[in-house]
Amino acid sequence: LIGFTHEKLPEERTDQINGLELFERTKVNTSQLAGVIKTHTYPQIQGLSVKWLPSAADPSVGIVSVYVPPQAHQAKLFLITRVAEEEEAQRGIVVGIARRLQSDNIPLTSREIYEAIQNGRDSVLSRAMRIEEKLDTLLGRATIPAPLMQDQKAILDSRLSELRLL
Amino acid sequence: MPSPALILTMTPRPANRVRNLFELNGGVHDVVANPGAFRGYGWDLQIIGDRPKIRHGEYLEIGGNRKLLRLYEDGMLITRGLIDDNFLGWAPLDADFEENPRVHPLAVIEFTTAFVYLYARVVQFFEQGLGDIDFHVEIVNGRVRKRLLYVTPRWDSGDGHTLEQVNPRYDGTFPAAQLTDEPDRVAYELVQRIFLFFSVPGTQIPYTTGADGHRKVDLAAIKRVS
Repeated sequence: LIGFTHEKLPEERTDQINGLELFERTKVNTSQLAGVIKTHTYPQIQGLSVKWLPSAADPSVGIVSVYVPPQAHQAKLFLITRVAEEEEAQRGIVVGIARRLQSDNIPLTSREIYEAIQNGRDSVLSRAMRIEEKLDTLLGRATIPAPLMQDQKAILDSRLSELRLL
Repeated sequence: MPSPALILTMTPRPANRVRNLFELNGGVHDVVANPGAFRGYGWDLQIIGDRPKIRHGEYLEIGGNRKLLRLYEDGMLITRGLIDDNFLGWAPLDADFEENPRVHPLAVIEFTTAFVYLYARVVQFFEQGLGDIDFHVEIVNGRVRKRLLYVTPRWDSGDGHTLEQVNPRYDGTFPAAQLTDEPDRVAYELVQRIFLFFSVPGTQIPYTTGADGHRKVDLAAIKRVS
């Protein structure tokens, strides 16, 4: 929500609205705001909605709401692909992950990002890699010449038949 | 009539392949050429004066009628040792082997154990991972003239245990990991089956140790034999 004065409640990881700070519609371009969000995040947020909500008492002023509905679990985590510091966009390879804690957005530290990747590897990628390895093994076995795939017992008897007569 | 012989085989399951079997320098070739020995002048697989040869484009072979080793490309290892007075039978110190075909217990146990230890080295050259190993033990032509082979588990014991069939065979399986983790235990599995051909219980098999269900070949005791 944009258009309120608020104060942080650090113990509760949320902000508390303590007044209105309505502004004119011309101050904010909702389409541009939605575009900025889309170009600064990856993957695309499904159902993103940025709306101008005029005041009932004075429709020339109002607030803006940015609505992010719950996202599919398999789409998470969402990456912040561009970062601005002192209102200046940072160049280079800059990617961040923010997590939602109540009303707060807490960027993950590099260690937390690393651990999240490792956890993902353990639960998904590692399994996929093990499956790939097993497939490789099966495919490798399939390349063993046909005679080697025959019944080993029959092969053994065949090979011993000569030795039994020596 | 062919002489009696002991045949032992190991086969990987599922099928496998020996890496560079027919490269006659280094690798598994050297392992077959030098199976090693537990002691000097023992009943091992060492074949002096011979080198492995490629046979029929199918396997490596070393040795001959008395002692033979074959390693196939699919990982099957076969050995054959004659049971006569020159190898796995008692030498004719006080009796002619032809009249008294007595199997030498230590010879059979040491020969079998050497086979297991050799295979543990061979599997290092397999292309695929290992699952189980099928083993096969067999005595062929177990009769000399009119008498079946017999064994006296203790050399000073007069009680001989006679073979019950002329051509007894047994097939078994063990986990491949046991080959490297507990080779003496695997060796016992094979040795036990051979002695069971003669109806000798495990507790009476010499050069073995451990409680029932956990017996293994006592390699240290074999190495102490002079």
